[in-house]
Amino acid sequence: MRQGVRTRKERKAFFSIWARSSKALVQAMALLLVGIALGVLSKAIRGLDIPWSGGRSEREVVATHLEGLEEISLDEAWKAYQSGQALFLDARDPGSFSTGHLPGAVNVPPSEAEGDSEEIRVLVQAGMIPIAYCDGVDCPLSSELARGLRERGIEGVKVLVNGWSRWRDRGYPVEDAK
Amino acid sequence: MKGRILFSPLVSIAFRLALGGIFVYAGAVKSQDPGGFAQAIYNYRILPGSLINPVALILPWVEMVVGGALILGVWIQGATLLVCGLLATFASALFLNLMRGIDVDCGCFSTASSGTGNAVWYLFRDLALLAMGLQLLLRYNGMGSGDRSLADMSPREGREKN
Repeated sequence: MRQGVRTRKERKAFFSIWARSSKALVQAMALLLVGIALGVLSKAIRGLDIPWSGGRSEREVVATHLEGLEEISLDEAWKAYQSGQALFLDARDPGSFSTGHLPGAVNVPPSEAEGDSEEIRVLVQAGMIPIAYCDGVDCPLSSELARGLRERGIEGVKVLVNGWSRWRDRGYPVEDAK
Repeated sequence: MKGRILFSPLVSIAFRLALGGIFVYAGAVKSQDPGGFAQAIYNYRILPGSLINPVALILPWVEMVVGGALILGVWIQGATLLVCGLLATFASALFLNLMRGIDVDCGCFSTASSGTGNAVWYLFRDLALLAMGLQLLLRYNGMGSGDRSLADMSPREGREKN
């Protein structure tokens, strides 16, 4: 008998929780729909130029990353390397850097720009050309590093877009993991 | 005793207003510059390209609606559920990028996509907000019952709970 009472109580508690959860889910969906409706309405009324679909083109992405920065072509970077003037700044994470990098590159993730800025400043003043790179067209790290260094007074940091892949694919020398 | 304080109506009101205000503010800032927000989302390198613009156009408004619901105490159960879902999603994205070593501005309260991000701080902040959200979730969906507005949160209710 007591077992039966407990079961009824448990059942009641279960249905109570289930009912509450269902109500919360329905309300959450309704709020989501209101948000979606307002977003659609906002775009229509304000005439925003951002399209619903189509994603972001490679050129658009690169342009956004490079805004206000100077890009360097692969050929120019190669010439700078051959003349011994290239100061390659690898903006990737230490793990990626350790598996391979451009010859003589220094690993400077954007978060560490401050710590390495003095050393870089000295080398730039000595005539080296700072070239920041990371991997992938959509990688923002090299641009972030260039901006970070500029904020610390180091001008003229050039960005080699998609540097690691392009350099390696061209067959130029790299320093592999030891 | 600690549980009573943690789940007291006053704490819930404070959490609701704080979370609501934060969501309304975050959504309002991002809704002003959906293009910049799309770039911030893009930098996470998690969503496929075709979903970036729709999310950039919609998410700020969802945040504002949810924030408004929390402040006004309307559909509070659904609002707390949605807030926790959103914060858990943001935390997952931040954690994933932290693990992958992708260091970008989080795009949480601005549409900046340049500069150095502090992923650990962003994640800690998000988890703190999630803890507040979970308190509300437990209160309104687990421990309490029914919709409650500011007016309903009277001292009498507090006495009943005690």
